Amino acid sequence: MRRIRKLAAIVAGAVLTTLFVVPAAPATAAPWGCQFSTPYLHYKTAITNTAAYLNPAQWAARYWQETNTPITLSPVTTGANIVIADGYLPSADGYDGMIRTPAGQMENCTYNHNWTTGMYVWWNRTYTDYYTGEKKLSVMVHELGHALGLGHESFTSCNYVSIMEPKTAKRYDDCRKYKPTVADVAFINQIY
Amino acid sequence: MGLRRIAIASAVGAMFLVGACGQATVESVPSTELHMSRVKDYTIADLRAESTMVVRGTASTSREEEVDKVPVTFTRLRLDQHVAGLGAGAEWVEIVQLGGSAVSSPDTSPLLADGDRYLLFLKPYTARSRSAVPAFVITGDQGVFRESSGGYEFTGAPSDELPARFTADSLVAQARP
Ligand SMILES: [Zn+2]
Repeated sequence: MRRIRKLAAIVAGAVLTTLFVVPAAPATAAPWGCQFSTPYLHYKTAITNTAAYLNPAQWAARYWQETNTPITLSPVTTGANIVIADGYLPSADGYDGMIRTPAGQMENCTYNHNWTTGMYVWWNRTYTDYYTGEKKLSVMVHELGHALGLGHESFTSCNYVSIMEPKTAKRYDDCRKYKPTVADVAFINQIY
Repeated sequence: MGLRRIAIASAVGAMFLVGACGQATVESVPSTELHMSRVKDYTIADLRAESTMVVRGTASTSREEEVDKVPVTFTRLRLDQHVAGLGAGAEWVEIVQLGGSAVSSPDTSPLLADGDRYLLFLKPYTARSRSAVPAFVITGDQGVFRESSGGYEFTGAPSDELPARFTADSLVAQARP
């Protein structure tokens, strides 16, 4: 019952955010409502090409940490909630980033409502080795948004494009988004 | 006595039913999820330009593996027709897709279905496969079209670029340079 009320609050909040924070643009997605059991989170890097990826990994975490939300993302070497990695992902043609989460249905959170650990996020170096630092950030800040509980969002106008836009061609090449937007921050504040 | 036997048989039957249903439910619950950041949506011209081979084939059995923590499915495909590009040099190939039967993966292409016929834009799979037949990935995870009702239905990863349906002639003509 508490969960239903909470979900209703999230939905209502999402509607209000859509109405007042990003007026005139139709929302195509909302936060999943799945979340970690605490906003005080730890990440670990498992970076092979440290020269090119360690700095963007740290900055991606820092961009979420610096939002006006309860989220903290501190680096650790053990006991991380999220592992940030770079790799050539030969099975992921067409994708520059990926997140693997443990059991749980992100879209509707019918069970396993609170994540604790076990998330892996990757850059796919097949593509990202050719990206600038800012474009690498655009991918990882997006993936960390998923880790925190945000779903995809698609808008036509760059004024409304979120870090949760699924396509890098739109999110970064067209709209130069590489940090959480005001709407992303509002969604995070609804679920934590 | 007869009634008692029927009652016991019913109870045992019910237990089996409950067991079967319980198991079905457990199997349908995903244990892992994948969510992706897509580079771009591919046009047919992109698919043609980036693929080494375009074929028509029939999907067969599949196996699932975890490759460097990533759940992956390998499906055997019997090649029915070479449409464009290089030849596979084999009658059978394996198609590698992200995900698996217990993985929820809404951003990626649905796994090829045993017995269905497809037109596929392919690139070589660059990691090692356990199988003896050559392995390929679907170009951009969007170069896959299932034969249905005399035409083709797009069955790749969600796209804002590619139409949902093609006539057989038009897709084959566009697949060729
Ligand atoms: Zn995504």
